[in-house]
Amino acid sequence: MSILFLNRYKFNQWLRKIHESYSVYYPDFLENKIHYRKLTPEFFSGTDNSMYKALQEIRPTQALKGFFFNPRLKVGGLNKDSKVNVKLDESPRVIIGAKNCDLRPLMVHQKMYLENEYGDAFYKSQLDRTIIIAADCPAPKDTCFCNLVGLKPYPEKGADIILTTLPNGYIFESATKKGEDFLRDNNHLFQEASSEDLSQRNEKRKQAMQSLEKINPSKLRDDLPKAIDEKTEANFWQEHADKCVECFGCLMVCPTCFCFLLYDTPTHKESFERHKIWDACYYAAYARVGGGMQDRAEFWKRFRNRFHCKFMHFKNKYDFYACSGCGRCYSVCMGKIDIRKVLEKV
Amino acid sequence: MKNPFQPFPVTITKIIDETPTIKTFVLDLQGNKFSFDAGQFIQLTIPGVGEAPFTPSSSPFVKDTLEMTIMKVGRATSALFEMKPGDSLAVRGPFGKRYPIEEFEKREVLILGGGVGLAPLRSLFLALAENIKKYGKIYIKYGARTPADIVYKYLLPEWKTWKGVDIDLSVDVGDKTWKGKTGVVTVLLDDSLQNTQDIVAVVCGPPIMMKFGTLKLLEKGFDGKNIYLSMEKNMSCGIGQCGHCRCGKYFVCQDGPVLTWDQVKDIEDPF
Ligand code: SF4
Ligand code: SF4
Ligand code: FES
Repeated sequence: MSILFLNRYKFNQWLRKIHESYSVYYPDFLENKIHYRKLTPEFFSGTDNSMYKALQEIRPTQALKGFFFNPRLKVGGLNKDSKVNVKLDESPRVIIGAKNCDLRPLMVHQKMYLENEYGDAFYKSQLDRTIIIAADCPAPKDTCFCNLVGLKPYPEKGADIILTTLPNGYIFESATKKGEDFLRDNNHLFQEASSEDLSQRNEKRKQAMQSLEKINPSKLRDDLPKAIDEKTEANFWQEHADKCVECFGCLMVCPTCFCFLLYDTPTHKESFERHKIWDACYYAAYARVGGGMQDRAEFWKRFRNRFHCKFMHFKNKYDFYACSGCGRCYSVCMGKIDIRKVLEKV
Repeated sequence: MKNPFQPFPVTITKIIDETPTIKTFVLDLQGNKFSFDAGQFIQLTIPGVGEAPFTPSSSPFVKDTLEMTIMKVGRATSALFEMKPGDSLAVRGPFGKRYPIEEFEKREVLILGGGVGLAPLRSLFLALAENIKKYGKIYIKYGARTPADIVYKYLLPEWKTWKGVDIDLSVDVGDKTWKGKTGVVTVLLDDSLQNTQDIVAVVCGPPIMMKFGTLKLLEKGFDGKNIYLSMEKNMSCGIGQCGHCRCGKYFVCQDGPVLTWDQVKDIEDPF
């Protein structure tokens, strides 16, 4: 694997090159927030260099998850007696600018969907057609808490290429064979990263970690899964759940949430299409069975389920939290429920 | 591509009225490759309405048809009750774990059913009956609300004649014609059961019956690891991916749908 340097003025040249063979998604400002945009030829006519700045912001507003686990995807159906055609999109693409807190979620989904007896060919094909170029976070914000759930503010596992912005250019580090080959395609634009480039990167990473530690000075307790399990008092959960306005935005923006619903829509008589759509455990109908019964009829129990799922069951089974500390749930919460505060008090 | 979300089409060939709210649907598998073991379930698609999980009631040894005894309780089952022979449905599965019936050999088996809960137990019963000499006595203890709510009225008399099978019924509320026992199904768990710590109990019924049935079995000396409970949870994917069937640390579709009392006893409100 190699660590290469790309001069700032060569960046667009490189983009133009990869755009010839790939769809490219990149981070850009929309008002004050970062969103993914699809690269179009118009991009190159501008002189604006907002991508350079955007790459140094925190995670985009929408999670990387949606590129792989689509909010709504046709997965089957019947036309009378024949199957509905479901085609996999295999066109290659590059996604630039994901942050470490969007990479752990991919691990969560791979555990759930790919390390499963039945697998998920849809998810797999989305992964296979993608080169993920993830970027460092030089400036964490006060909603960020990746450090509390065992992550660093720069890509660790899950990206093909790791990108760091420096004042005069970019470091590209390949992390997979796929990433290495991809970089080598445009070998002529890069040079080996110098030891000075690397020490600049180290310094930036150290500073980012320090600011995270300032934002989140107290660690999560080591026995958190057990403590959550033993927190059975309704009062505790009720107090937090009471602040919830039940918009369930937190679950729709969460990059780790893996729940879905198979949802059928009739096409014509005896024919239907089946979609796999995002679902979430806060919905009252989520666990309801045919007769209308369910074991989480009270909202506080559904509220608690999110904590059980992410910080107890998943951790006990796979030894990491199904939360990446991205802070999106807190950012969208109208009741200002800060998941860190709930966990601190457990 | 193997696609676990894609069902295959089947046809309804016959509908048997069991009770005013329960029907048995006989499905022709249209030559699709399909077999299941007792304990596993399927996802049944009612075209355009959606899917719901059911456990077959027919014997796993029968290959080209599948029977399911279903109670009308909600949206999907109401749509199903409107259907007629010749109509199409679709099936995915089988999913979940089977009963470890090899561990039942040489032991007595108590089948404890309430209401429509006898339906999934029927496939286990028929599977055991296929090699009945391998097991000790098989008890069926079955309770329904009223005599009219008893399922398989046309089969029970024949099952009674099978050697090694002991059938006992109760109804919560009797009528003029009822000569049997009255009271909730646990009244059938009387002192005639010996060596209860070694008897295998399989239980299926409404949540309240599962709860009190289990408590009664424990009181009678049954061992928690020998009490098999059919867990009813909301299901969507059936394959341990979608999260819907969560019950404590288990995904009921994958780890169940049958779990033992030992597995669920520490879960708050398992039923
Ligand atoms: S939570 Fe961590 S990885 Fe995510 S944006 Fe903030 S600093 Fe970056
Ligand atoms: S629970 Fe909140 S902080 Fe954790 S991954 Fe989900 S949205 Fe991000
Ligand atoms: S039904 Fe989807 S996980 Fe069990």
